[in-house]
Formats: sequence, C-alpha cells, structure tokens
Amino acid sequence: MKKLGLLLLLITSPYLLALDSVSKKSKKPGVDIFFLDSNIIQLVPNKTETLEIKLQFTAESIDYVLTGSAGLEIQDLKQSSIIIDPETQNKILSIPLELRADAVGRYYLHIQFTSLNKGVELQTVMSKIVSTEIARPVLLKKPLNAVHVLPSSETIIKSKDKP
Amino acid sequence: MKAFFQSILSVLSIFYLVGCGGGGGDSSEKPPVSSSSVSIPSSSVSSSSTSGVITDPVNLSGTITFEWVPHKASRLGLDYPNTEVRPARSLVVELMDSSNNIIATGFTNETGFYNFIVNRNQQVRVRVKAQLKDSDQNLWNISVRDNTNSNSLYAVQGELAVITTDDEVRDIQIDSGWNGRSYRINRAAPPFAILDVLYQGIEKLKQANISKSLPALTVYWSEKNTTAEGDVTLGEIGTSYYSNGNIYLLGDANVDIDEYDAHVILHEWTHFLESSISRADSLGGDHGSTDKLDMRVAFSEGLANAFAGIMLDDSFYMDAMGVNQSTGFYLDIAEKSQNVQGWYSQGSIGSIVYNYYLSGDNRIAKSVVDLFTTFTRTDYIDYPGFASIFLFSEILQRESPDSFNTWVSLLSEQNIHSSNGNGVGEINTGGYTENLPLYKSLSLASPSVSLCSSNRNGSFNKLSNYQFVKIDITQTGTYRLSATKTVGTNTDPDFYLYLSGTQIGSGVSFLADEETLDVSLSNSTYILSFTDAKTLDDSITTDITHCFNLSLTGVGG
Repeated sequence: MKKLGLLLLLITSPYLLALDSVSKKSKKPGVDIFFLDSNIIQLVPNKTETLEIKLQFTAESIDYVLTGSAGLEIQDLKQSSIIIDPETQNKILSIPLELRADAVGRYYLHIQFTSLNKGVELQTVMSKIVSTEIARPVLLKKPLNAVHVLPSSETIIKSKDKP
Repeated sequence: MKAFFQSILSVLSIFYLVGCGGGGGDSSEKPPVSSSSVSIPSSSVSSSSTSGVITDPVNLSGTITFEWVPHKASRLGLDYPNTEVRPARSLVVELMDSSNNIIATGFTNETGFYNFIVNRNQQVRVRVKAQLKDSDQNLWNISVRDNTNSNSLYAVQGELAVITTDDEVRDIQIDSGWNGRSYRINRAAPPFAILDVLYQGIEKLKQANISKSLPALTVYWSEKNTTAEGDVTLGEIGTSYYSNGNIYLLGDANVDIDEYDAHVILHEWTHFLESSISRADSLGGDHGSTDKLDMRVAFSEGLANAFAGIMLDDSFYMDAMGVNQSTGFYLDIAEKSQNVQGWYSQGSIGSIVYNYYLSGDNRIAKSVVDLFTTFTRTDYIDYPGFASIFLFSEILQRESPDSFNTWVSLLSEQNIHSSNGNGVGEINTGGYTENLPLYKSLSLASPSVSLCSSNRNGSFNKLSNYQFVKIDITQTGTYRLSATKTVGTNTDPDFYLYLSGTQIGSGVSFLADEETLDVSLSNSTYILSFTDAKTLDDSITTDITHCFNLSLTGVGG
C-alpha cells in the first residue's frame, strides 16, 4: 500500500517528491532567480502574442536584457514591474512583451539578468523555449562512438629523403 | 638515428609478440622525446603494414596547439584580441590508415608534441581526439562529447598523406573560430580548451600526490548548449552543471559560453571529484554568495569555488556571457568581507579555504597537499555526519595540526565557532534558533525530538529547509521513526536516513501531517535529514515554518 501511495505521489504531486531522491544538479553560481511560469511558450506562426513573464528573485535590484534566437521577433513593452509580497518579502519581476515568429520552429527567448545584492553583482542568462511547432521532428540516431570532426589546419613539413 | 630506430623496432617486436592490445604501452618503452607510443591492435592492423612489423621506419611527429581566449583585464568578458596559442596537452593522438583503421595510438606531451615510428610510404592521417587520458597509470580519462549529435566524441584530424621522408612533421592548429566579429559555425577550440583547463586541475591533484583512480568523465559541450531547460539532445541544458558523473557546459555564443571560463569548468569538476574520490552530500540547485544555504550545499559550492581558484592559482572567479561574450561578472573568492557569513554561506567557505591555501603560517604557502588530502581521507568520507565546513575542519585538524590555528582564525572571521565534525559548540544560529544544535539527538534513551522546517531563507536548498538528527543505535533491531505535526497546517513531513553519507532509507509518503518508517538498524550512528516538503517548493511564496515531533521506538529484534 505504501508503494502504491509512493507511486501515486510520484505521478500526482510535484513537491511531495522531496529533494534527496531526485537527480541532483550542481549548477554554476549565478543570480538567484527562477521562472514562476512554464518553461515553454507556444506561439502560433505569423501571429504576434502579448504575454507576461514572471520571475521570483531575492536581490536588492535586478536589471535585464532581452534577446532572441534568429527568427524570433521580440518587442519589450518597457513596462516591467517588481511586486513585493508584504508578508514574505518575495520579489516578483513581471516582464510584459510581444513575441512573434513567422516560421514553424523552435526558438529561444534569452533574458540576461544582472543583480545587485549587498554590493555583489552577478549575472545569469535564463531562457524560455518558444515553439511554433505542433510536433517535434524525430532525430536520426547516429551509431554510438561516432566522432564529430571539427575543422583544423595542418602544416606538413617533409625532411629530405634518405640518401 | 639508425640505432634509435633499431631499438624502437625491437621494442615494437616485443609488443607484438606479447599481444599488446590497443591504446598506449608501458611508459618505460616509449620513445624518449614525447609521451607517445606505438602499438598494433590486432583488430585494426593496417592492411598496408606488414603484420605490425616496422620494416622501414620513419619518424612522424608534430605539435598540436589550440587557441585560448582569455578574459579581459577588467575580468568582464572575453578578450579576443589577446587570444593565445597553447599546447594541447596529454591528449590521445591516433594514426589512421586509408581505411580509417587505427594503426597507432599515442599521447601529446606537455608541449603538445607527439611522435610515432611508422613504415615509410604508408598512407596515414593524424587524428587528435578530445580525450585527456593518463598515459602512465590510467588514473583519469576525460572525453568531451557533443550531446546534440548522438554524444559523438569531438576530434580534429589532418590529411591522409603518404610518408616518404625520414622525418615528417605534421602540426595541427585548432582555432577558436572567431573572425573578429563573430564565430563561425562548428568552432573547434572549445573541447580542447575545456580539456586543458581540466589538465591544470589534474596537475594540482598530482602535486598533492592524490593517486586515486578517477572514473571516466564525459563533458558534454555543444555550441547549441543554451540556457533554456528542456531537451538536452537539442542543447537545452539550462546552465552549466555537474550531475550523475557528467558535466554539461554552455556553448551558445552571444548568450552564454563557458569553454573559456576556467573557474566554471573547475567548479563543476570539483563536484565530480566530490562524487568520485571524496563524498558528495550536496542537494544541488541554485545558489549564490548572498544566500543562506543548506549547510551541505554551502560547503559543496564554497569548496568548489575555492578549489577552482586554487587549481588556477587565481582567486577571481570569472564568468563571461552576453553579446560577443563581452560582459559577465567576477567574484573574489578570497574576499573576507562576505555579506552573509557563517557555516551556511558559500562565500564564507570559499574565503576560508582559499585564504588557508594562501597562508604560509606553519605550512607551505599555496600548498594543496593538506587540503586535497583532507578531502580524500577515509575518515572524512566515512564520517557519519554530512560533509560540511565542520566536518572538513575536524579532519583537517587531524591532517595538519600545526597550521590549524590559522584555519580556526579564518573560521572565526566568518562567524563560525566550531571545528567539531558535528558542529558541537556552534553559536551562529543563522537568524533562526531552531537551526542549532546542528544535529539534534535521538536514541531509545532520548526517544523524541522537536524539529522545525522553514522556507524563511528561500526554498529547495536553503538554510532551515532541512534539519538534521543524529541517531545512536546500540542494539540491532527494527525501529520505527515517526514524525507528527505540532505546528502548521497542510504539512508534508519527509525524512531520509543515512549511514556514512549513504542513504539507506526514506519516509516520503503522501500522508499529510505525518510520516512513518520502519527500518532495520544495527549498532551504529545514523544521520537523518528532515524536511517539510512544502518548504522545498519554489512555487509556494508564502512564509512556511512547520514543526514536528520525531520519535524513535523499537518494534522488534
């Protein structure tokens, strides 16, 4: 019964599965900030979408720069705001913007954050996946142990032949 | 020269007669100049060679170099105009015939030099793998692979050409791909830059006479590796990180690349070392120098920063990013004026470890021996309590008692007042009295304890999310651990039971406000980490402080 309960727990409750039992990622240092909404933005091709990205952070101040991968049009509406929860003092950054992609594909909205906290400046880039795809194409599998040959230049110097 | 060739020939004959397999050979049988050796794998004997016997030997050698892009003097972003050419050290070099059979394997030396003896008039190609390998004792083996291309191994290679002369030189230059304004697609230097940074880390381990064999490590890097979290095969790795024996590094130009961020690479490599030759108790996750962190996370991250700085002998942690990699940030790991000071501060721990490394007080300044030895000692790895600044202090005192006063002074400067492995005597509460004592005690003689879990310092891996309990068992039997809520509503108590850092049981059921675990325990000291899972959830933004009663009872022999 306990196992059944644990199975249900795994399926139904994201936070009941506590940290010790999940895959651990030791990440590089950076700004303490995270998205409060989904990691993927779904767009309709050829249609401009207005949306709002929300993040929670802890620093005294935060600044950001928006960029996108090729083919993704971004219009920063310059109306970002920070709301401070009076009870928890959690800081929520809200970034309204417009997005548009004309071709079907997978794009990235990059947000480079600069935080200042007690005189310490940190930077982190976080990104959202912006998709206009209905279904992802299946990747062709290469054989294991394949080699990815990179470009290089070679200089060959031959000595004189043996007498 | 002829005598030299003859001696090599006799060595090769011995190799062949004893059926030496692929890869390198015994170091004593290498040519004297470089670290390469020639062996003839029976499965890939070149059709152009005469059963692996060199009948008309000629010398093929060369130097492998790659371009390294340093950080600007301001430490903010990469400095392309001052790109350096560096030797590609300790890499696997292969000679391939016209059918792509590997006919010889060797290694570059410290100057990037390789050397082979091959048959005259043989058609060969030189291939350099993005693989850093110990040619002598096989103590390390690190590969850089492309997670966006079926995990293929990166390599560079030269032309397939016939060797006609006594001495032929084939040098290979691996450039960064920077054209002055942008990168070309398929840039080549990054895998080799990453390996060279790791080579510097290995050199430091060797200085400390750490001779433990490291498990094979794969570093996944791709120029598609970007800061979105999603499908890793598309490069959506989120950030650079270590997980489950692998390192993932960012490579998305104009967003964030880490191949020239040596501190980032060695920070993640330290996490690999924790897992492979030391102990790794960290929860992982996001962390910063102004956070109050779970003590395991604070120690692991502070140590990783300090060890990265020590391996590079540079206290400035730098991370370049942004358009043209022209921005970024830096931190001085040695900074003593940390905003958050204590056993829960990665900044404090980095500062303590790095400044101890610098100290020449009753030790050799900049020696890594005592620090790295402590990190790998059996009594550190097997200690019942978790890896923390307290545990490291206790074991360092055993390792290096003469210089321990320096360490204690550094602890004190960071508002840390105990050097006992379990933090006995610590007085810095981190702003919440329930954080001390660090380990509450539980035994049949003292069968219940009050524990509180809070997200007051943040969620997931922050100070006060977890509380720790030391459980002393003196009689083998089956025991019941039960947690019941005393303060709070809609709680979810969970706990994890450890023996010397290894998790041996857990209570993580879905039941609200209570948790129970029946477990067989023997005569030993166990450690339990306890949490209300609600405090781990990023999406809960309200302040949670929930308290519980944890009890231990015997339920049978």
